Amino acid sequence: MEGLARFLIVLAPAVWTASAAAYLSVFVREDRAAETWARRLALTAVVLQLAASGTVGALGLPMVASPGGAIAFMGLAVAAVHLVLESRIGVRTIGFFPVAIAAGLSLAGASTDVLRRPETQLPAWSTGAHVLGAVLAYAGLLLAALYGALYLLQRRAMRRRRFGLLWERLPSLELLDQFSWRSLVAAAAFLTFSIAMGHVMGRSPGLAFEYSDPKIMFTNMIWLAAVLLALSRGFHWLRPARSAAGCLLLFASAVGNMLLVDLVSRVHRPH
Amino acid sequence: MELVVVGLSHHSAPLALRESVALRPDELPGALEALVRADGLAEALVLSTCNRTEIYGRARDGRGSAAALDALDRVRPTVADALRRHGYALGGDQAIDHLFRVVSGLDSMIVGEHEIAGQMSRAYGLACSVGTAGPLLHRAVPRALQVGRRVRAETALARGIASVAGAAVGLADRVFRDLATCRLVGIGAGDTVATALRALRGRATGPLVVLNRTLERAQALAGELGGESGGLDDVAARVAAADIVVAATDAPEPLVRLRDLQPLLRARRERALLLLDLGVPRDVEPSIRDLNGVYVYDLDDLQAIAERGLYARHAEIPKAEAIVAGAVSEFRRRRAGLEAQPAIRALLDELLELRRDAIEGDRALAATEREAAERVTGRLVDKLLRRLAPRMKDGTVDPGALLEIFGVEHRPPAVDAADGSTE
Repeated sequence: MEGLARFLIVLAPAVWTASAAAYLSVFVREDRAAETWARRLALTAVVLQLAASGTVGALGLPMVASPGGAIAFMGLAVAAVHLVLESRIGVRTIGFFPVAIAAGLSLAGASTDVLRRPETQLPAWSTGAHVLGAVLAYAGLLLAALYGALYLLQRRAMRRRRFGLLWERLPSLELLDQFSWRSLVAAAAFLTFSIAMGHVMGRSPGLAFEYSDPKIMFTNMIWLAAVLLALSRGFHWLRPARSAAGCLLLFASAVGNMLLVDLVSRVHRPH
Repeated sequence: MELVVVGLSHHSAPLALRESVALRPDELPGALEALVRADGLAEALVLSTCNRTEIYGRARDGRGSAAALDALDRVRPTVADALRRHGYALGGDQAIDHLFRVVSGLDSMIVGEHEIAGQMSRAYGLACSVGTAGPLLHRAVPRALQVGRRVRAETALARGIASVAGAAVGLADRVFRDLATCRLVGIGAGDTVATALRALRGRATGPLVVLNRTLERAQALAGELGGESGGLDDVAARVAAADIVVAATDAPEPLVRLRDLQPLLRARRERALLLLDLGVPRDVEPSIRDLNGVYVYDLDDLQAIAERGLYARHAEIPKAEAIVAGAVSEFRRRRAGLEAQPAIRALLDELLELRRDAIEGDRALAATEREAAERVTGRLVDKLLRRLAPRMKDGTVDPGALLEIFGVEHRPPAVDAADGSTE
């Protein structure tokens, strides 16, 4: 079973990469044959990634419990959400971006020891729910930032009258704005859930924490900013371009929170 | 059986002449029947669009394209005269090549446009229903439509934007998610606005208003496109309530001014506004470009988009030409194969006759020797035909000349135009 798990963990990034290459061909050359293959490969990668998670789970290790597993799962969530949106709108020219992100995250996840057992035993359900919520929230923020960045690129092309490849391939400003906002709303919802679960988890004996901890404070600030940004855009108080820039900033802050603030925080460390 | 085509197109005739010879849809069935009745053509198909009027057919007596012109002379003398002076007449492989190029969009005014394939399909459907399409057209036109589909699938010839009107739709597509709900406003009712609005109307089915100084012209265009009309009194309010505005008037001063529009735009919140200013001089004040959520483009911008698309399409022409050339060559090979069948049959009969005469003429042969001779000569005839038949089919050996050497009198089978059956 462990051998199968390792095989699937390694195979998934390879298929994601093949799909990203096919999507790149669609983006650059509008290759019709590649269009069909890109989607098929991406769906195969989704199945492989889920199978890898399932196999790791069967070994008694939740896939999202390890950092590598969580990163790979985040890539899966990003690509899966985009594949659903893609089938609804029929625009396949921007699939390269989320699938390339999924390939990168899956590869990063596979390069870590996903099958390593955690050092501390935490309540399984609240940990799983907290981590899963956080992963999905980060995936949402990443998608919101991705669509926001594409919005800003398309807007810039239109403002500067650069009717090149980007202008041709990127979908409408309105669509990118809507996708960015919806991803942000989903991210805010998952973040709320994850923070609540983290609070429940924090009451367990092995993991006491203080509300003044930088990680907690920074996470709460990101949550507040995400909620405010989602509300401002939802009520049309904020222009789409500013909302897109806000999504980018929010994602950068979330990455900083994940990588830097963790260094000075006592949360996520066994006592 | 040789395909012939006579016609004129944007390559050979000015618009006024093309308009004068174009046949209306209700005239086509009568014209097709008359062309076949006129004793020049055994099969006929008429393709009449705004850019070309062409007659495809098969001459009854092997006179080639002259037969088509003669037939047309009896049906429409003025059209035949125009075609003689400004048109082209092609036969055989040139006609097949022309047909395949036309259906593939290689011969179109905007290279790669695919409307022509639909027009040819409808023309062929009409010829079939009237009964003027025979075996040659039944083979050539469906094959041409197939080649057209292949060119569009395997090359980027039909992709991208290649006209100013297409650029207007392309810009709208990059701003709005769903054009169907967009509100359109046309300022001016001239050709430029009409062309752009017609292109947009294909997708934008929401409310439409045409504003013009002369109300009658606005009403005429609005009536055609299913919208309302109005004067130029409240331009700013109409623009502020719209999603896409197309403006092209001959007004000396801009009709859409910043000071009028800016206060009204606050009510739109962040909903984008696309202004296509196609007028010379401009109808939209340039400073409006700086407003948030407002996208203003002029004729130069739209032309730049169209030229880029055309450039990309032109880069695909060699690929498309190669597909068409391959298809023409394949079609010619198959046609030669089909046409060589009766000659091969006649040659076989003649060789068998010669063999029988030779064996039966030699009375000195014993029964066993006769059997052996029949066996050996049978193999010889078989080997000869196996070598000759493929060459007769691909045209490297002329079936007629070969039959002449053997002294065989061969007459190609006659084809009845009405039902396409061979006699």
